[in-house]
Amino acid sequence: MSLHLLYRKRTLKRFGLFAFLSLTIILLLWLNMISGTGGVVVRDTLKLIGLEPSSGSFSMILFSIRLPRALAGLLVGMLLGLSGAAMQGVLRNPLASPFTLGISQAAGFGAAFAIIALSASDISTHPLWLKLNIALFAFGASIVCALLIVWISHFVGMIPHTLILAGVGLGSLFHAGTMFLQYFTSDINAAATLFWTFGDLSKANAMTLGAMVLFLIPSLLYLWAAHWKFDALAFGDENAFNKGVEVKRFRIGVILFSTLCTAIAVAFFGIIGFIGLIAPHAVRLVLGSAHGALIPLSALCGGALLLGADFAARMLLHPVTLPVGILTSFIGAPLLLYLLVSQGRRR
Amino acid sequence: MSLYLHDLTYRLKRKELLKAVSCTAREGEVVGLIGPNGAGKSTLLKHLVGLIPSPLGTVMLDDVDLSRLKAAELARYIAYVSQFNTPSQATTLEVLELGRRAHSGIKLSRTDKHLIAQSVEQFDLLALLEMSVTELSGGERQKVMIASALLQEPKILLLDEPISHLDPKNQLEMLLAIHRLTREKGLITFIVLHDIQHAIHYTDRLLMLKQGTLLHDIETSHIEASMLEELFEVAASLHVSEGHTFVYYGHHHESIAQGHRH
Repeated sequence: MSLHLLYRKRTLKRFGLFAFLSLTIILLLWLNMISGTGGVVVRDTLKLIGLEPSSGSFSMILFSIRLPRALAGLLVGMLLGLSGAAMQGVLRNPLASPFTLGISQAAGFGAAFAIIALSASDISTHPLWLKLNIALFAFGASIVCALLIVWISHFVGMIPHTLILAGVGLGSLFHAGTMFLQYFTSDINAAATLFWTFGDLSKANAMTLGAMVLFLIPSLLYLWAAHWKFDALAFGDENAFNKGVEVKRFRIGVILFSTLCTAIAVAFFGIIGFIGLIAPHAVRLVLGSAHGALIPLSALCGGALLLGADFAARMLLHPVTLPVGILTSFIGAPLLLYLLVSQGRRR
Repeated sequence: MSLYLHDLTYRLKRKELLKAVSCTAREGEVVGLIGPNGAGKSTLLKHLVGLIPSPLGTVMLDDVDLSRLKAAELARYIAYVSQFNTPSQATTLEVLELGRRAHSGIKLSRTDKHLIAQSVEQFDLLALLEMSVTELSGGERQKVMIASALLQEPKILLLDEPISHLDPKNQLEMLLAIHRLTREKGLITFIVLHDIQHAIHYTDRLLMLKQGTLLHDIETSHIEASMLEELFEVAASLHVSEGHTFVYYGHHHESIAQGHRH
């Protein structure tokens, strides 16, 4: 096969997966629009595209509940998928995820601090103010965690395995902090901190969606533009340097951007596991390890996965709605094992 | 075009890995680095490639101070093929493309694709392009890494034991190709070799390193048995046959005879 044909084949393959994921997302968005407490109502499609007059309550439900929730699923999934692909690339570790560096535990601690310490101190009792505080503290704690890791790496070297160990250490430190707070607080507050950690998309609104878009776009651009640096890094730090990558600076940049992506999603919606781990693996299985395609398509794949998971979470035990975070972990673990086995067989 | 190394010194904790090494290399020259294990050969290459800072010494290519360049600029002057490769799932084509990134960054130009096509033809890589480099044989992988390094269009090529894992036929082909490319493209090539035979046949100059010190810096044709004995601390003799010099290592015959008697 000539080089020219090879380039074309590669482009076609990438475009094929892009088209597949986009269509899946459109399909899932449609399903999410027409499903609610009454289950999946296919006839609502007509109202959706304006062929049938819709009542005010339908458009109210659509625009204030279903659409924000679906878009939140898409955006959170994209943020987590993107962040996972970047983490796995920069840490050279297929088991890395957005949470490898202890981000989720830090966010959990931040939220627990806001719920327990701030509500006890009577700074404000207004529920909206408390919600905002929880998000701010969760976000802040995640960023602090990432900065601590960058700071620690200043002493021990910016090497993947030390970064991962630092993440494990900080993660358990934050987790211990959370447990400490929970031990001394009331049952209600302890339960609230626990519930906060279940990733749940029902909290979506225009403000949270806007904030996520603001974080997603620059991160996607930064990480995508650096796609070849990830590829070079796969050959080790020394070889990457000789291909033109300022390794240390690049690694700090990637850690900060992917932490921002994860932190914003977690701060608003709690912890949603496995999407960031699975999405890059799924894309890699189809397209190989080149980050030029892996970075953007992992984001799309994450979006599709979380949209699908949220649809399932609402419909599986209908009329009971599960927090999507529980479902992703349920599906994610066997899916990961399946990917591992099928990859093993290929070799 | 000449490369000047001046006073390269490197200390790791208390140990001096390089002691004031200075030398000059010229365009079109293959410079062999030989010496016992831990002599500082790889350290010297890492200095050149900018992986280790050299606060005291200087590395000048004509009037460009290489130690002050950023990674991407340096990658256009120097290409480095390391001794150990972290395995990557990347395909051969992706590895070749990496060689052009220091020039083009995010998106490869038409020139880049043209150069890649040339390299594929030159190194006969067409059948390997879609394969992951982990699936290749040692010789094929080494060929791909060198092809990718040359796509950087460097002035200086650094090879750390490039033939250690190859069979004799591949070793000879690789060394011949390196020698020819160095002439054709006017490169300055530094190559770490363990096989002195190869070093004698395929280099123009030899740097002999021992415990971080440059013992000898000679034209390869001026090699003497005493230098090798000093370098490796084993008995060595040189034999010339049909214009080629061969090395013979080891015991003098008296010592064997004595050994038998005991």
